[in-house]
Amino acid sequence: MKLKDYNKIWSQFLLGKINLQEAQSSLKIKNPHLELYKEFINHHFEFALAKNFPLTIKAAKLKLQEISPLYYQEYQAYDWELNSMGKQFPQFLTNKNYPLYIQELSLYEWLKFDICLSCENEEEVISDIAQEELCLNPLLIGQQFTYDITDWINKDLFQTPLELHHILLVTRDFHLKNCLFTKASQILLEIINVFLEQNRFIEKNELKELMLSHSSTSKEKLSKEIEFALKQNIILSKDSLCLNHSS
Amino acid sequence: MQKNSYLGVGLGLRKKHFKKVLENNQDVDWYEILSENYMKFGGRPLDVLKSLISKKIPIIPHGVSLSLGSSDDIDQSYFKKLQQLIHLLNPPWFSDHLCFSSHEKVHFHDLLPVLKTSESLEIISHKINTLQEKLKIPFALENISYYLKSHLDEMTEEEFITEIVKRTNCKLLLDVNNVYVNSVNFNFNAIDYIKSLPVESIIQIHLAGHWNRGDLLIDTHGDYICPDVWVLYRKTLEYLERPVSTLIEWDNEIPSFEELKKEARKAKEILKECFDET
Ligand SMILES: [Fe+2]
Repeated sequence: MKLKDYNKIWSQFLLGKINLQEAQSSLKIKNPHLELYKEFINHHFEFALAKNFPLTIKAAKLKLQEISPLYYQEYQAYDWELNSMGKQFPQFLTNKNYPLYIQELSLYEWLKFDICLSCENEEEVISDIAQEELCLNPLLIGQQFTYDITDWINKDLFQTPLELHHILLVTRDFHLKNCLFTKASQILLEIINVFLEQNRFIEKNELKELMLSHSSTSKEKLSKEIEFALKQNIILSKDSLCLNHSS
Repeated sequence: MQKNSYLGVGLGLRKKHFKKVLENNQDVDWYEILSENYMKFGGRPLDVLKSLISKKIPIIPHGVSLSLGSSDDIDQSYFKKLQQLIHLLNPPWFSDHLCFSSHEKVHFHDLLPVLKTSESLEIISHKINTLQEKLKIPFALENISYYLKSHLDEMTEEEFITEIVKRTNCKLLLDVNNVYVNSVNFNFNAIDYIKSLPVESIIQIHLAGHWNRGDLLIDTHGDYICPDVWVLYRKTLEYLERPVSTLIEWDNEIPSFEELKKEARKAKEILKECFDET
Protein backbone atom coordinates (compact mmCIF):
# COMPACT_ATOMS: atom_id res chain seq x y z
CA MET A 1 0.00 0.00 0.00
CA LYS A 2 1.14 3.54 -0.77
CA LEU A 3 1.95 5.68 2.26
CA LYS A 4 -0.56 8.28 1.13
CA ASP A 5 -3.38 5.71 1.14
CA TYR A 6 -2.31 4.38 4.52
CA ASN A 7 -2.37 7.90 5.98
CA LYS A 8 -5.75 8.53 4.32
CA ILE A 9 -7.43 5.44 5.76
CA TRP A 10 -6.23 6.36 9.24
CA SER A 11 -7.49 9.89 8.73
CA GLN A 12 -10.90 8.72 7.48
CA PHE A 13 -11.25 6.42 10.47
CA LEU A 14 -10.20 9.05 13.01
CA LEU A 15 -12.64 11.55 11.50
CA GLY A 16 -15.48 9.04 11.60
CA LYS A 17 -15.78 8.77 7.80
CA ILE A 18 -15.23 5.01 7.80
CA ASN A 19 -16.05 2.54 10.57
CA LEU A 20 -13.77 0.32 12.65
CA GLN A 21 -14.29 -2.81 10.54
CA GLU A 22 -13.51 -1.01 7.29
CA ALA A 23 -10.40 0.59 8.77
CA GLN A 24 -9.18 -2.67 10.33
CA SER A 25 -9.60 -4.56 7.10
CA SER A 26 -8.00 -1.85 4.90
CA LEU A 27 -5.09 -1.39 7.28
CA LYS A 28 -4.78 -5.14 7.84
CA ILE A 29 -4.93 -4.81 11.59
CA LYS A 30 -6.13 -7.75 13.63
CA ASN A 31 -6.18 -6.52 17.21
CA PRO A 32 -9.00 -4.30 18.49
CA HIS A 33 -7.03 -1.25 19.61
CA LEU A 34 -7.57 1.05 16.65
CA GLU A 35 -10.46 2.62 18.58
CA LEU A 36 -7.98 3.56 21.32
CA TYR A 37 -6.39 6.17 19.05
CA LYS A 38 -9.77 7.87 18.67
CA GLU A 39 -9.97 8.03 22.45
CA PHE A 40 -6.51 9.60 22.64
CA ILE A 41 -7.45 12.27 20.13
CA ASN A 42 -10.74 12.96 21.91
CA HIS A 43 -8.75 13.41 25.04
CA HIS A 44 -6.42 15.95 23.40
CA PHE A 45 -9.38 17.93 22.11
CA GLU A 46 -11.09 17.79 25.49
CA PHE A 47 -7.94 19.07 27.11
CA ALA A 48 -7.58 21.89 24.58
CA LEU A 49 -11.21 22.99 24.96
CA ALA A 50 -10.96 22.90 28.75
CA LYS A 51 -7.86 25.06 28.57
CA ASN A 52 -9.15 27.61 26.05
CA PHE A 53 -12.82 27.90 27.01
CA PRO A 54 -13.14 27.50 30.80
CA LEU A 55 -15.78 30.25 31.15
CA THR A 56 -17.84 29.10 28.16
CA ILE A 57 -17.87 25.56 29.52
CA LYS A 58 -19.00 26.84 32.91
CA ALA A 59 -21.63 29.27 31.63
CA ALA A 60 -23.16 26.84 29.11
CA LYS A 61 -22.74 23.86 31.47
CA LEU A 62 -21.10 21.93 28.65
CA LYS A 63 -20.25 18.25 29.10
CA LEU A 64 -16.87 18.09 27.42
CA GLN A 65 -16.80 14.31 27.10
CA GLU A 66 -19.95 14.49 24.98
CA ILE A 67 -19.25 17.64 23.04
CA SER A 68 -15.56 17.18 22.26
CA PRO A 69 -15.92 14.15 19.91
CA LEU A 70 -18.74 15.91 18.02
CA TYR A 71 -16.62 19.03 17.70
CA TYR A 72 -13.49 17.32 16.46
CA GLN A 73 -15.31 15.27 13.84
CA GLU A 74 -16.83 18.43 12.39
CA TYR A 75 -13.92 20.80 12.85
CA GLN A 76 -10.46 19.31 12.66
CA ALA A 77 -7.25 21.06 13.66
CA TYR A 78 -5.50 22.65 10.70
CA ASP A 79 -2.42 23.82 12.53
CA TRP A 80 0.53 22.07 14.13
CA GLU A 81 0.26 24.43 17.08
CA LEU A 82 -1.18 22.24 19.84
CA ASN A 83 -3.44 24.96 21.16
CA SER A 84 -5.11 25.66 17.84
CA MET A 85 -7.51 22.76 18.34
CA GLY A 86 -10.09 25.15 19.79
CA LYS A 87 -10.02 27.61 16.91
CA GLN A 88 -13.41 26.72 15.46
CA PHE A 89 -15.23 26.08 18.70
CA PRO A 90 -17.12 29.43 18.58
CA GLN A 91 -18.34 28.49 15.08
CA PHE A 92 -19.35 25.04 16.36
CA LEU A 93 -21.45 26.61 19.14
CA THR A 94 -23.04 28.95 16.60
CA ASN A 95 -24.00 26.02 14.38
CA LYS A 96 -25.39 24.17 17.37
CA ASN A 97 -27.62 27.20 18.13
CA TYR A 98 -26.27 28.03 21.56
CA PRO A 99 -27.51 31.44 22.85
CA LEU A 100 -25.73 34.38 21.26
CA TYR A 101 -24.06 35.40 24.55
CA ILE A 102 -22.53 31.92 24.86
CA GLN A 103 -21.25 32.15 21.29
CA GLU A 104 -19.82 35.57 22.08
CA LEU A 105 -18.22 34.40 25.31
CA SER A 106 -16.47 31.60 23.41
CA LEU A 107 -15.30 34.09 20.80
CA TYR A 108 -14.03 36.38 23.55
CA GLU A 109 -12.09 33.49 25.12
CA TRP A 110 -10.66 32.47 21.76
CA LEU A 111 -9.60 36.02 20.81
CA LYS A 112 -7.85 36.34 24.14
CA PHE A 113 -5.79 33.35 23.20
CA ASP A 114 -5.49 33.83 19.46
CA ILE A 115 -3.86 37.24 19.64
CA CYS A 116 -0.97 35.65 21.54
CA LEU A 117 -0.59 32.91 18.91
CA SER A 118 0.28 35.37 16.17
CA CYS A 119 3.62 34.52 14.62
CA GLU A 120 4.47 38.09 13.80
CA ASN A 121 5.95 40.73 16.01
CA GLU A 122 4.58 44.21 15.69
CA GLU A 123 8.07 45.67 15.59
CA GLU A 124 9.02 43.50 12.60
CA VAL A 125 5.91 44.49 10.70
CA ILE A 126 6.51 48.23 11.17
CA SER A 127 10.28 48.32 11.49
CA ASP A 128 10.60 51.50 9.41
CA ILE A 129 8.52 53.79 11.62
CA ALA A 130 10.19 57.17 12.39
CA GLN A 131 10.59 58.69 15.85
CA GLU A 132 7.61 61.08 15.81
CA GLU A 133 5.27 58.88 13.82
CA LEU A 134 2.31 56.81 14.90
CA CYS A 135 0.68 53.88 13.16
CA LEU A 136 -2.21 51.52 13.60
CA ASN A 137 -1.20 48.25 15.27
CA PRO A 138 -1.04 45.83 12.30
CA LEU A 139 -2.21 42.97 14.52
CA LEU A 140 -5.21 44.83 15.94
CA ILE A 141 -8.44 42.81 15.91
CA GLY A 142 -11.83 44.54 16.08
CA GLN A 143 -14.86 42.41 16.85
CA GLN A 144 -18.52 43.39 17.04
CA PHE A 145 -20.29 42.21 20.23
CA THR A 146 -23.97 42.33 21.15
CA TYR A 147 -23.46 41.53 24.83
CA ASP A 148 -21.19 43.11 27.40
CA ILE A 149 -18.96 40.05 27.80
CA THR A 150 -16.06 41.88 29.51
CA ASP A 151 -18.45 43.03 32.24
CA TRP A 152 -20.31 39.69 32.46
CA ILE A 153 -17.26 37.52 33.13
CA ASN A 154 -16.62 39.43 36.36
CA LYS A 155 -20.19 38.83 37.52
CA ASP A 156 -22.51 35.84 37.75
CA LEU A 157 -22.04 33.65 34.68
CA PHE A 158 -25.40 31.99 35.28
CA GLN A 159 -27.26 35.28 34.74
CA THR A 160 -27.85 36.47 31.19
CA PRO A 161 -25.42 39.31 30.40
CA LEU A 162 -26.51 42.83 29.53
CA GLU A 163 -26.81 43.87 25.93
CA LEU A 164 -24.28 46.44 24.81
CA HIS A 165 -23.77 46.75 21.09
CA HIS A 166 -20.10 47.64 20.78
CA ILE A 167 -16.81 46.85 19.11
CA LEU A 168 -14.15 45.20 21.22
CA LEU A 169 -10.58 45.97 20.23
CA VAL A 170 -8.07 43.21 20.90
CA THR A 171 -4.30 43.72 21.10
CA ARG A 172 -1.54 42.08 23.06
CA ASP A 173 0.72 43.24 25.77
CA PHE A 174 4.25 43.08 24.34
CA HIS A 175 5.98 42.03 27.50
CA LEU A 176 3.51 39.66 29.13
CA LYS A 177 2.18 38.49 25.75
CA ASN A 178 -1.27 38.41 27.22
CA CYS A 179 -4.33 40.04 25.83
CA LEU A 180 -5.57 43.63 26.10
CA PHE A 181 -9.30 44.21 25.51
CA THR A 182 -10.59 47.73 24.88
CA LYS A 183 -14.21 48.71 24.35
CA ALA A 184 -14.07 51.06 21.38
CA SER A 185 -15.32 54.57 22.10
CA GLN A 186 -16.49 56.82 19.26
CA ILE A 187 -13.19 58.76 19.33
CA LEU A 188 -11.11 55.57 19.27
CA LEU A 189 -13.04 54.40 16.22
CA GLU A 190 -12.46 57.78 14.58
CA ILE A 191 -8.71 57.53 15.27
CA ILE A 192 -8.66 54.05 13.72
CA ASN A 193 -10.61 55.34 10.71
CA VAL A 194 -8.10 58.10 10.07
CA PHE A 195 -5.30 55.52 9.90
CA LEU A 196 -7.37 53.24 7.68
CA GLU A 197 -8.24 56.07 5.30
CA GLN A 198 -4.71 57.49 5.14
CA ASN A 199 -3.05 54.06 5.09
CA ARG A 200 0.33 55.44 6.26
CA PHE A 201 2.30 56.46 9.35
CA ILE A 202 1.08 59.78 10.76
CA GLU A 203 2.83 62.22 13.10
CA LYS A 204 1.02 62.86 16.36
CA ASN A 205 0.35 66.56 15.61
CA GLU A 206 -0.90 65.79 12.13
CA LEU A 207 -3.21 63.13 13.55
CA LYS A 208 -4.68 65.71 15.91
CA GLU A 209 -5.21 68.16 13.04
CA LEU A 210 -6.81 65.53 10.85
CA MET A 211 -9.10 64.51 13.69
CA LEU A 212 -10.06 68.03 14.70
CA SER A 213 -10.93 68.95 11.13
CA HIS A 214 -13.93 66.61 11.15
CA SER A 215 -14.67 66.02 14.80
CA SER A 216 -16.24 68.13 17.50
CA THR A 217 -13.98 66.61 20.18
CA SER A 218 -11.90 69.00 22.27
CA LYS A 219 -8.15 69.03 21.77
CA GLU A 220 -7.62 67.94 25.36
CA LYS A 221 -9.95 64.96 25.11
CA LEU A 222 -8.36 63.96 21.83
CA SER A 223 -4.85 64.04 23.33
CA LYS A 224 -6.06 61.84 26.19
CA GLU A 225 -7.60 59.32 23.79
CA ILE A 226 -4.44 59.15 21.67
CA GLU A 227 -2.39 58.42 24.80
CA PHE A 228 -4.96 55.78 25.82
CA ALA A 229 -4.80 54.18 22.36
CA LEU A 230 -1.03 54.08 22.68
CA LYS A 231 -1.25 52.53 26.14
CA GLN A 232 -3.60 49.83 24.85
CA ASN A 233 -1.32 49.19 21.83
CA ILE A 234 -4.14 50.11 19.45
CA ILE A 235 -1.78 52.57 17.83
CA LEU A 236 1.98 52.29 18.08
CA SER A 237 4.97 54.63 18.13
CA LYS A 238 8.65 53.84 17.88
CA ASP A 239 8.97 54.62 21.60
CA SER A 240 6.15 52.33 22.65
CA LEU A 241 7.60 49.48 20.59
CA CYS A 242 11.17 49.89 21.85
CA LEU A 243 10.08 50.37 25.44
CA ASN A 244 7.82 47.35 25.41
CA HIS A 245 9.94 44.92 23.45
CA SER A 246 13.14 45.67 25.29
CA SER A 247 11.60 45.21 28.74
CA MET B 1 31.41 12.71 19.63
CA GLN B 2 29.45 10.31 21.84
CA LYS B 3 31.44 11.33 24.88
CA ASN B 4 30.85 15.04 24.23
CA SER B 5 27.16 14.47 23.70
CA TYR B 6 26.67 13.23 27.27
CA LEU B 7 24.70 15.89 29.12
CA GLY B 8 23.77 14.01 32.29
CA VAL B 9 20.20 13.67 33.53
CA GLY B 10 17.63 16.24 32.43
CA LEU B 11 14.02 17.17 33.08
CA GLY B 12 11.22 18.33 30.83
CA LEU B 13 10.79 22.08 31.24
CA ARG B 14 7.18 22.70 32.24
CA LYS B 15 5.33 25.97 32.84
CA LYS B 16 4.25 24.78 36.27
CA HIS B 17 7.90 24.70 37.38
CA PHE B 18 9.12 27.95 35.81
CA LYS B 19 9.54 29.70 39.15
CA LYS B 20 11.46 26.79 40.69
CA VAL B 21 13.57 26.39 37.56
CA LEU B 22 14.61 30.04 37.68
CA GLU B 23 15.30 29.96 41.43
CA ASN B 24 17.08 26.67 41.55
CA ASN B 25 18.53 25.22 38.40
CA GLN B 26 21.94 24.19 39.63
CA ASP B 27 21.10 20.54 40.19
CA VAL B 28 19.38 19.82 36.86
CA ASP B 29 21.95 19.03 34.17
CA TRP B 30 19.80 19.98 31.21
CA TYR B 31 16.23 20.52 30.05
CA GLU B 32 14.13 19.23 27.22
CA ILE B 33 11.33 21.43 25.87
CA LEU B 34 8.32 20.51 23.79
CA SER B 35 9.36 22.51 20.72
CA GLU B 36 5.81 23.44 19.68
CA ASN B 37 5.18 25.16 23.01
CA TYR B 38 8.00 27.62 22.38
CA MET B 39 7.68 28.16 18.64
CA LYS B 40 4.94 30.80 18.66
CA PHE B 41 4.86 32.24 22.14
CA GLY B 42 7.16 34.86 23.55
CA GLY B 43 6.61 36.32 27.00
CA ARG B 44 7.45 34.35 30.11
CA PRO B 45 8.34 31.03 28.40
CA LEU B 46 10.87 32.83 26.22
CA ASP B 47 12.27 34.72 29.22
CA VAL B 48 12.80 31.41 31.04
CA LEU B 49 14.59 29.94 28.01
CA LYS B 50 16.82 32.99 27.74
CA SER B 51 17.67 32.81 31.41
CA LEU B 52 18.70 29.14 31.11
CA ILE B 53 20.69 29.91 27.96
CA SER B 54 22.56 32.69 29.77
CA LYS B 55 23.48 30.15 32.47
CA LYS B 56 24.74 27.80 29.74
CA ILE B 57 22.28 25.05 30.71
CA PRO B 58 21.64 22.89 27.62
CA ILE B 59 18.08 22.84 26.26
CA ILE B 60 17.06 20.20 23.72
CA PRO B 61 14.00 20.83 21.54
CA HIS B 62 11.75 17.78 21.30
CA GLY B 63 8.90 17.96 18.79
CA VAL B 64 5.63 16.11 18.24
CA SER B 65 4.42 17.64 14.98
CA LEU B 66 7.04 16.92 12.32
CA SER B 67 4.89 14.03 11.11
CA LEU B 68 7.77 12.22 9.45
CA GLY B 69 5.58 9.25 8.53
CA SER B 70 3.10 11.32 6.56
CA SER B 71 3.23 11.45 2.76
CA ASP B 72 2.86 15.25 3.07
CA ASP B 73 5.96 17.42 2.86
CA ILE B 74 7.22 19.07 6.02
CA ASP B 75 5.07 22.11 6.76
CA GLN B 76 7.16 25.14 5.84
CA SER B 77 5.70 27.42 8.53
CA TYR B 78 6.57 24.74 11.05
CA PHE B 79 10.07 24.36 9.69
CA LYS B 80 10.69 28.11 9.80
CA LYS B 81 9.66 28.31 13.45
CA LEU B 82 11.73 25.24 14.34
CA GLN B 83 14.72 26.80 12.64
CA GLN B 84 14.29 29.98 14.69
CA LEU B 85 14.02 27.97 17.89
CA ILE B 86 17.16 26.00 17.08
CA HIS B 87 18.95 29.23 16.29
CA LEU B 88 18.00 30.55 19.72
CA LEU B 89 18.91 27.40 21.67
CA ASN B 90 21.95 26.24 19.72
CA PRO B 91 21.31 22.66 20.94
CA PRO B 92 23.61 19.69 20.23
CA TRP B 93 20.65 17.84 18.62
CA PHE B 94 16.86 18.01 18.21
CA SER B 95 14.32 15.22 18.20
CA ASP B 96 10.90 14.03 17.11
CA HIS B 97 9.11 10.71 16.76
CA LEU B 98 8.90 7.84 14.30
CA CYS B 99 5.22 8.45 13.65
CA PHE B 100 2.76 10.48 11.64
CA SER B 101 0.46 13.03 13.22
CA SER B 102 -1.12 14.80 10.26
CA HIS B 103 -2.55 14.07 6.84
CA GLU B 104 -3.32 16.65 4.16
CA LYS B 105 -3.14 19.53 6.61
CA VAL B 106 -5.39 17.91 9.23
CA HIS B 107 -3.47 17.57 12.48
CA PHE B 108 -4.45 14.78 14.86
CA HIS B 109 -2.05 15.84 17.59
CA ASP B 110 -1.27 12.25 18.41
CA LEU B 111 1.62 9.92 17.57
CA LEU B 112 0.23 7.46 15.03
CA PRO B 113 2.20 4.36 13.93
CA VAL B 114 4.05 4.62 10.62
CA LEU B 115 3.72 2.27 7.70
CA LYS B 116 6.96 0.29 7.43
CA THR B 117 7.46 -0.20 3.71
CA SER B 118 10.30 0.69 1.35
CA GLU B 119 8.37 3.71 0.02
CA SER B 120 7.74 5.01 3.53
CA LEU B 121 11.41 4.42 4.39
CA GLU B 122 12.39 6.51 1.40
CA ILE B 123 10.06 9.37 2.37
CA ILE B 124 11.06 9.44 6.05
CA SER B 125 14.79 9.21 5.27
CA HIS B 126 14.50 12.01 2.75
CA LYS B 127 12.79 14.25 5.30
CA ILE B 128 15.43 13.54 7.95
CA ASN B 129 18.26 14.17 5.48
CA THR B 130 16.70 17.48 4.46
CA LEU B 131 16.21 18.55 8.07
CA GLN B 132 19.76 17.69 9.08
CA GLU B 133 21.16 19.41 6.01
CA LYS B 134 19.21 22.61 6.59
CA LEU B 135 19.44 22.77 10.37
CA LYS B 136 23.05 21.60 10.51
CA ILE B 137 22.64 19.61 13.73
CA PRO B 138 21.89 15.91 14.24
CA PHE B 139 18.29 14.74 14.41
CA ALA B 140 17.38 12.12 17.01
CA LEU B 141 14.53 9.77 16.10
CA GLU B 142 12.37 8.48 18.96
CA ASN B 143 10.62 5.09 19.03
CA ILE B 144 6.95 5.40 20.05
CA SER B 145 4.52 3.25 21.99
CA TYR B 146 2.07 1.55 19.64
CA TYR B 147 -1.02 -0.49 20.30
CA LEU B 148 -1.47 -2.34 17.03
CA LYS B 149 0.50 -3.86 14.21
CA SER B 150 -0.40 -3.78 10.56
CA HIS B 151 0.16 -6.68 8.20
CA LEU B 152 0.88 -4.07 5.55
CA ASP B 153 4.31 -3.56 7.13
CA GLU B 154 7.13 -5.03 5.06
CA MET B 155 9.68 -4.90 7.87
CA THR B 156 9.92 -4.93 11.64
CA GLU B 157 10.39 -1.72 13.57
CA GLU B 158 14.01 -2.65 14.37
CA GLU B 159 14.78 -3.24 10.69
CA PHE B 160 13.02 -0.04 9.73
CA ILE B 161 14.90 2.09 12.29
CA THR B 162 18.22 0.46 11.38
CA GLU B 163 17.66 1.28 7.71
CA ILE B 164 16.73 4.91 8.50
CA VAL B 165 19.92 5.33 10.53
CA LYS B 166 21.93 3.81 7.68
CA ARG B 167 20.43 6.19 5.13
CA THR B 168 20.54 9.37 7.21
CA ASN B 169 23.19 8.88 9.86
CA CYS B 170 20.65 10.29 12.30
CA LYS B 171 20.76 9.65 16.03
CA LEU B 172 18.31 7.69 18.14
CA LEU B 173 16.33 8.84 21.12
CA LEU B 174 15.63 5.55 22.82
CA ASP B 175 12.45 5.73 24.89
CA VAL B 176 13.01 2.86 27.30
CA ASN B 177 9.47 3.07 28.65
CA ASN B 178 8.04 2.84 25.12
CA VAL B 179 10.14 -0.27 24.46
CA TYR B 180 8.90 -1.77 27.73
CA VAL B 181 5.24 -0.92 27.05
CA ASN B 182 5.45 -2.42 23.54
CA SER B 183 7.31 -5.51 24.78
CA VAL B 184 4.57 -6.28 27.31
CA ASN B 185 1.69 -5.48 24.94
CA PHE B 186 3.21 -7.51 22.09
CA ASN B 187 5.04 -10.10 24.13
CA PHE B 188 8.64 -9.68 22.99
CA ASN B 189 11.95 -9.41 24.81
CA ALA B 190 12.71 -5.76 25.46
CA ILE B 191 16.49 -5.95 25.80
CA ASP B 192 16.75 -8.14 22.68
CA TYR B 193 14.82 -5.45 20.80
CA ILE B 194 17.23 -2.76 22.03
CA LYS B 195 20.24 -4.90 21.11
CA SER B 196 18.93 -5.23 17.58
CA LEU B 197 18.95 -1.44 17.06
CA PRO B 198 22.00 0.50 15.80
CA VAL B 199 22.88 1.24 19.42
CA GLU B 200 25.98 3.30 18.64
CA SER B 201 23.53 5.96 17.38
CA ILE B 202 21.65 6.27 20.67
CA ILE B 203 22.29 9.81 21.84
CA GLN B 204 19.49 10.19 24.37
CA ILE B 205 17.20 8.10 26.54
CA HIS B 206 13.65 8.86 27.70
CA LEU B 207 12.32 7.43 30.93
CA ALA B 208 8.63 7.82 31.74
CA GLY B 209 5.68 6.31 33.57
CA HIS B 210 2.80 4.41 32.04
CA TRP B 211 -0.65 3.17 33.06
CA ASN B 212 -1.56 -0.47 33.40
CA ARG B 213 -5.15 -0.75 32.14
CA GLY B 214 -5.21 -4.45 32.92
CA ASP B 215 -5.32 -5.75 29.38
CA LEU B 216 -2.85 -3.22 28.03
CA LEU B 217 -0.06 -0.90 29.15
CA ILE B 218 -0.67 2.66 28.00
CA ASP B 219 2.08 5.23 27.69
CA THR B 220 0.75 8.19 29.68
CA HIS B 221 3.82 10.10 30.89
CA GLY B 222 1.72 10.64 33.97
CA ASP B 223 3.29 8.51 36.67
CA TYR B 224 6.51 7.39 38.33
CA ILE B 225 8.86 5.24 36.28
CA CYS B 226 8.01 1.62 37.12
CA PRO B 227 10.62 -0.81 38.60
CA ASP B 228 10.74 -2.91 35.40
CA VAL B 229 11.61 0.16 33.34
CA TRP B 230 14.41 1.06 35.78
CA VAL B 231 15.75 -2.48 35.34
CA LEU B 232 15.57 -2.18 31.56
CA TYR B 233 17.33 1.20 31.76
CA ARG B 234 20.19 -0.36 33.73
CA LYS B 235 20.43 -3.31 31.33
CA THR B 236 20.51 -0.88 28.38
CA LEU B 237 23.35 1.15 29.89
CA GLU B 238 25.29 -2.03 30.73
CA TYR B 239 24.89 -3.17 27.15
CA LEU B 240 25.89 0.22 25.71
CA GLU B 241 28.90 0.41 28.03
CA ARG B 242 28.70 4.22 28.02
CA PRO B 243 26.59 6.87 29.76
CA VAL B 244 23.77 8.34 27.69
CA SER B 245 22.00 11.66 28.26
CA THR B 246 18.81 10.71 30.05
CA LEU B 247 15.56 12.59 30.41
CA ILE B 248 12.70 12.09 32.84
CA GLU B 249 9.48 12.64 30.85
CA TRP B 250 6.39 13.59 32.84
CA ASP B 251 3.71 15.47 30.93
CA ASN B 252 0.40 14.70 32.62
CA GLU B 253 -0.55 15.24 36.25
CA ILE B 254 2.88 16.75 36.66
CA PRO B 255 4.21 16.42 40.23
CA SER B 256 6.30 18.95 42.14
CA PHE B 257 9.73 19.92 40.86
CA GLU B 258 11.23 18.12 43.89
CA GLU B 259 9.49 14.85 42.99
CA LEU B 260 10.82 15.09 39.43
CA LYS B 261 14.30 15.71 40.74
CA LYS B 262 13.99 12.57 42.88
CA GLU B 263 13.36 10.54 39.71
CA ALA B 264 16.35 12.24 38.09
CA ARG B 265 18.50 11.33 41.09
CA LYS B 266 17.51 7.66 40.68
CA ALA B 267 18.71 7.76 37.08
CA LYS B 268 21.94 9.42 38.20
CA GLU B 269 22.55 6.70 40.76
CA ILE B 270 22.14 3.99 38.11
CA LEU B 271 24.51 5.85 35.78
CA LYS B 272 26.98 6.16 38.62
CA GLU B 273 26.73 2.48 39.50
CA CYS B 274 27.23 1.53 35.85
CA PHE B 275 30.07 3.88 35.02
CA ASP B 276 31.24 5.49 38.24
CA GLU B 277 31.89 8.73 36.40
CA THR B 278 28.78 10.89 36.38
FE1 LIG C 1 9.47 9.71 24.92
